[in-house]
Amino acid sequence: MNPRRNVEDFTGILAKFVRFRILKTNVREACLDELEIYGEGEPSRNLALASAGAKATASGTLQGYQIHQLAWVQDGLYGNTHSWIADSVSNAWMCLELPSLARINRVVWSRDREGYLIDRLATEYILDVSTNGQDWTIVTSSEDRKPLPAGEIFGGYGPGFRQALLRFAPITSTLPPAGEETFSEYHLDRWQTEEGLPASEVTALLQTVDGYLWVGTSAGLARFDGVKFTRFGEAEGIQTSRILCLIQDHQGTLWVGTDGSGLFYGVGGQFHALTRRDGLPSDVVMDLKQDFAGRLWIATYAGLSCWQHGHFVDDRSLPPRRNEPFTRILDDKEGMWVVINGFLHQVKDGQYVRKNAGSEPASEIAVAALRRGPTGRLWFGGISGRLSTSSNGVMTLLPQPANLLSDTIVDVCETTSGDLWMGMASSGLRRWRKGGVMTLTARDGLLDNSIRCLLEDRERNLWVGTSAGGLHRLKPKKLRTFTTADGLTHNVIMSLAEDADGSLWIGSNGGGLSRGVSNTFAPADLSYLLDNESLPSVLAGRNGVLWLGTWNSGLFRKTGAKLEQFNLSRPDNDEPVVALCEDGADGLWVGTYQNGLKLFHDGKFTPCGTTNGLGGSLITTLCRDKQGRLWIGTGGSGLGCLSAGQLKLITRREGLAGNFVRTLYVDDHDVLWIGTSEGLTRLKDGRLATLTRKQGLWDDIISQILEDDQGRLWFGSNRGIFRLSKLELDRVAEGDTAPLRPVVYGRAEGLANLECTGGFCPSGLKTRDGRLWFSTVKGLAVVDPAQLPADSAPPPVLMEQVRVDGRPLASAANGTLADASHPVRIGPGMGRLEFEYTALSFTAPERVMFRYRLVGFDPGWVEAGTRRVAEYSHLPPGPYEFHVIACNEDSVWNEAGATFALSCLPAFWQTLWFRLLAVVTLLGGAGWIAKSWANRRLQRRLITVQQQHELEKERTRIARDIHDELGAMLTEISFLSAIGQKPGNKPEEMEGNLRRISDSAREAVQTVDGIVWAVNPRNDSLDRLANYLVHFVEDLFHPTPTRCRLDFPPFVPRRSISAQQRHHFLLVVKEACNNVARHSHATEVWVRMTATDREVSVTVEDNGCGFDPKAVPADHDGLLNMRQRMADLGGELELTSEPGRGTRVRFRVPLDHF
Amino acid sequence: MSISVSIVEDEARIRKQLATLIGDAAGFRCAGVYPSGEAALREIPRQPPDVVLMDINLGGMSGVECTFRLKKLVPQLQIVMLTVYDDSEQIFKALEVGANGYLLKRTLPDEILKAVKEVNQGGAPMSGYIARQVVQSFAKRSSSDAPQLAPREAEVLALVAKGYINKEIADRLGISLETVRSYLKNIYEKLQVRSRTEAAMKFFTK
Repeated sequence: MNPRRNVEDFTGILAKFVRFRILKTNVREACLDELEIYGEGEPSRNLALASAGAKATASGTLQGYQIHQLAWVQDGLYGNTHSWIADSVSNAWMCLELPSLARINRVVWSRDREGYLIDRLATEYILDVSTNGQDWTIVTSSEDRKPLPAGEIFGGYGPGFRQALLRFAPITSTLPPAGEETFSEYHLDRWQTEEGLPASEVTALLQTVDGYLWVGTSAGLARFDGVKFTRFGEAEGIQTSRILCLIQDHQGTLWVGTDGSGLFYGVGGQFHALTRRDGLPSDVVMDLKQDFAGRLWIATYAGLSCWQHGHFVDDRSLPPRRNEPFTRILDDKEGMWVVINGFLHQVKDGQYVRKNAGSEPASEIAVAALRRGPTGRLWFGGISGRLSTSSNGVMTLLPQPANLLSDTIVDVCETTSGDLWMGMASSGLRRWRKGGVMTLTARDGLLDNSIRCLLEDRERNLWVGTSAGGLHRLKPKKLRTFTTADGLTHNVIMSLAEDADGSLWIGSNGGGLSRGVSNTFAPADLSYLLDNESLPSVLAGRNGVLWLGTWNSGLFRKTGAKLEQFNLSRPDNDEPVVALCEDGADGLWVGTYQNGLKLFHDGKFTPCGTTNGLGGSLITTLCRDKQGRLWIGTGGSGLGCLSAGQLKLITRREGLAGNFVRTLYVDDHDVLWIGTSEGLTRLKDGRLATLTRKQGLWDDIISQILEDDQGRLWFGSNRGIFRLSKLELDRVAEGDTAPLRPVVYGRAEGLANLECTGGFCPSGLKTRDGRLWFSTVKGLAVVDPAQLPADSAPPPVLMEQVRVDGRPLASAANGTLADASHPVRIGPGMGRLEFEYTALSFTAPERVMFRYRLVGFDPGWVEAGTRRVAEYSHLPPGPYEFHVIACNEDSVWNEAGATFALSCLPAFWQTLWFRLLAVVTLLGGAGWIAKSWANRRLQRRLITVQQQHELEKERTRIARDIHDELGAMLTEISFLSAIGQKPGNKPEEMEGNLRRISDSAREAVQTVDGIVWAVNPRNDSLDRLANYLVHFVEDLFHPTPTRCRLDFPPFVPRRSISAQQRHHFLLVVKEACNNVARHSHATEVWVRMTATDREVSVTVEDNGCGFDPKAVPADHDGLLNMRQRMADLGGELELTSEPGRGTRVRFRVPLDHF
Repeated sequence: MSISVSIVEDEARIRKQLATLIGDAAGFRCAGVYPSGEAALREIPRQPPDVVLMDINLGGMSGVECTFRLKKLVPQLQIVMLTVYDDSEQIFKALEVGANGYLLKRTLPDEILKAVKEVNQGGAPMSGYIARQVVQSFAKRSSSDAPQLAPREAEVLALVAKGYINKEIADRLGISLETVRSYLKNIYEKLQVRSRTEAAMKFFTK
């Protein structure tokens, strides 16, 4: 069922009585606005009308309401004010007796055909007919109807509200059509649930005294600081139900009216509830106002209430109680305004007096919006889109432009600048200004055309709450950009000039010349030569002459209507003219792209010889100072100064920011400001001072420099336009280290593209009306410094929360931050301390900058940038005060800021006595530790030195072994091989050589085997030595005729033995065995090992020829070698031999040496 | 009939020389050369040769493991380990898992052929060096169920450890050369039985 209109179609049936039986409603007694009966014969004739002879009867009628009489159900008039209400909630009926039997097939019934009330709706009903009034036939019922959507029951205004019927035709059409101004004046920003908004439907907006923006939504309340939404819910004592209204009373208490959860009020973020149980007429709170006497008026869905001093007021001073929907209220000294049932009333002499807007009786309107503007004027927004106003007791219905859609005005907001904004139920926003209407809809960027509420904040931003598109902010653009859409020939602007008549001449890059007169632009059709020309240089000269420097066509001079062309070298493809500047007399300096500087005089160009020093550099800009000097900016060679025929050059070396000079500006004090590609340089009194991004300059590529009438310099850069006062620039140029605080103008302020164009002259222009013009790569940007809002008020700075180790210590939400008089004490053991703060500037929260300082810890201010939290960790005990200050987008600082005092308590180990004790203990301990540490270190170093020494010895030994043993054998192999290659070798010699090569090679491999074995640390045991000796001896004697007998104990004592010792042992045994194999001619050799706990000995004995030891010289290589090695091992060698009696060599090593 | 010999050697130069040596020698035939234990394990069981020359230090699967696995698959296969350097531990391990002998790579070609021939004839060449370790091995592990050496076997082993060659032992003990050989074979088998459980655990729990 639909509150507005339900059509019941059924098969034709004969009837005299038509009865509508109401079994159940959505709320309270049922209301029928109108019931219409149609017959088969005449589908458009309503048989139910009283005027048609029908008679109405009913179970009963609610008493006391003139507007709810039974007769109104068949009066042909629509709306709640012409409806019938039953006297019982259930089992009510209404019956219409037709004048005669008729065959009917359709009944149309409604609760409110105007569609703004949806309560008292029959949700269960039966429609039956009878021919005699006794026998009834049911024709239809509620069974086949879709129920009313959930959640719509207490919505106050139903969905039909937005499409409320056109009831009042426009009276006059005197206003101009809508859409005169374009939306481009405003910058639109949007916040949705992704950004933290509780719901997409924003139902109420309020800026409290402290500066916060409070946002009521269909899912609860949130507080907004421009950056972050802080939600308020059950924890703060408020239900997250749909908010309908918000108000802050004179005491600072925040009141929140909800849709079904009553009223909430709170200070400091904690809320308390007022509901029907407390005496509220209804839990649906539609509107709240505080009157001049300080009483709070509460408009509910079932009457008006008044609250004062913590009680509901109930006395004779109040108007009579009416149990009806009060949707809007507005206090007025002349008598409170209220909207009851959609109709405007004023309280006069304690009675509600119905008010009509305007004088005509037909102008009676249903009002949806009720507001007072800053000037005191009252505004009444009608449900049909008509606006009325009341001033000094006179009510006027304002005329409405003819071509505007009829739509309900949901909210009205008169701004401080005098604009009147209307939020429409389904057609976006309308702005009335000086009789003109501008509309703003989804086409312009709104996310929803259904507006719910409007608010102008203190910085003159307009906030717009929508039904499904979240929160919007409209801020006037501070500067305006003209593009081809405004009539310019081209969007890339180069140079511009203002002629004597005040017309603007604008040269573009490849799109010719445009002319602008009072913000209207058009192509300047001076010559076909200029059609697609680039004009880097447009100069308004003396005597009303306009000079046009072009890229291809030379120089033009426009005098009145006369246009002359002067070529530098040729008519086509002429030298590009990129800079123009008049000289002191009647000449014109012409800077060219490649051919330097020329003086134009009497129709002739003369090259300037003195500027030859500039080389072939391109001239970018020219300007004359008060002393008559000509300053010449070049693209790469720095800055030239032509004075009295002398050229002086200033480059990076002399202190210029960069050698590519883009623009020059001489101010009234003859200070030269030089914009380069690498920063700004000030030339004052012959001294250069450079400012770059390091000093806080917004950008280093400066293309335009203009000065406004307030002593501020405006810079066109590659990152937008920014301004700085000369005072501030001077301060930093003189060496002050505090950074520059530029005020920046970017896209949000109205630039279509951030990049300004430069490197030619003139670039940028200040017109005589004081406006500043900047050429950009997308259009011509203009700002009127005089029209800019005066430097905005400093933003309020607030502490939001203080956290210790992540847990809130104090927060604005629970009010603990409010009392800053006593320092908060923090117990010992605190780790991380966080201060969360904010500054309430809503125009450009992203440009709000902070500085903070923890007094007692930070020596100076900490530049926090846009960060809104400060962190400290492990603060030493003591008193502290956190101080934070902030500035808004205009660099206006709130120097007072916000503070928070705290005191960190010492832990017992941080107290003085403990520390003294600890110091004593520590000193003692430290002394002892230092001593033992030094000792240990010395010891360790000794060991290390020893180890290194050992290691070096070992390496030397291995190297020596490889060299001595392997080297000799390999040398022999190579020697023998070389001999073998010589021609004429005898076969037997060859054979012998080859055998010797083979033997040597095998021995080499064996030697390597021995070295590898000795080096391998796995073999560091006597046991392994025994094994290896066996292996070695067998291997050695195996191919020889000498039989080898081994006598090794199966088990030898487990002793470790170093690589060096093993190797010595192996080599002496090897030497002895080799001697046996080579010289003894023995048939048998015995190799024995004995190992006791005290010593190891190895004996090599043969039965060979023997020799006389005395005959062997003491310095015999082999013997000497063996003795030396044994001496190294700490052992000894015994040699016994006799000629013919064999030889015996015994090696003995005491085991303590291993 | 010539003795077929397969070579498992990862070093290409030595592999080639050994193949040439075997191929050129009368009475020997090169049955296959394999660069890795894995390849040998895949190919050799298909057509087992008489003798395998197995490098002990193969990249990838070690020569010892390859020997163990080959012996499992082809128990009658005779395997002779090859090693560049003395590495008693590895050699002994190989013998424990079933290798029939070992050769140093620097051994003269004739010696190599002689050793292969001996192994093929069922010989179990044992050097004093190995014998010494066998003695130690038997002494070390003397659990009750492990086979012990018979008195004569111990005697033969002791002589080998002293450097006596088989013929000398036969003369000295008054037994035939064949008997000495069979004693040695028994000693090897007992050694392998002793080590089998341990070896199995070692390779199969990998």
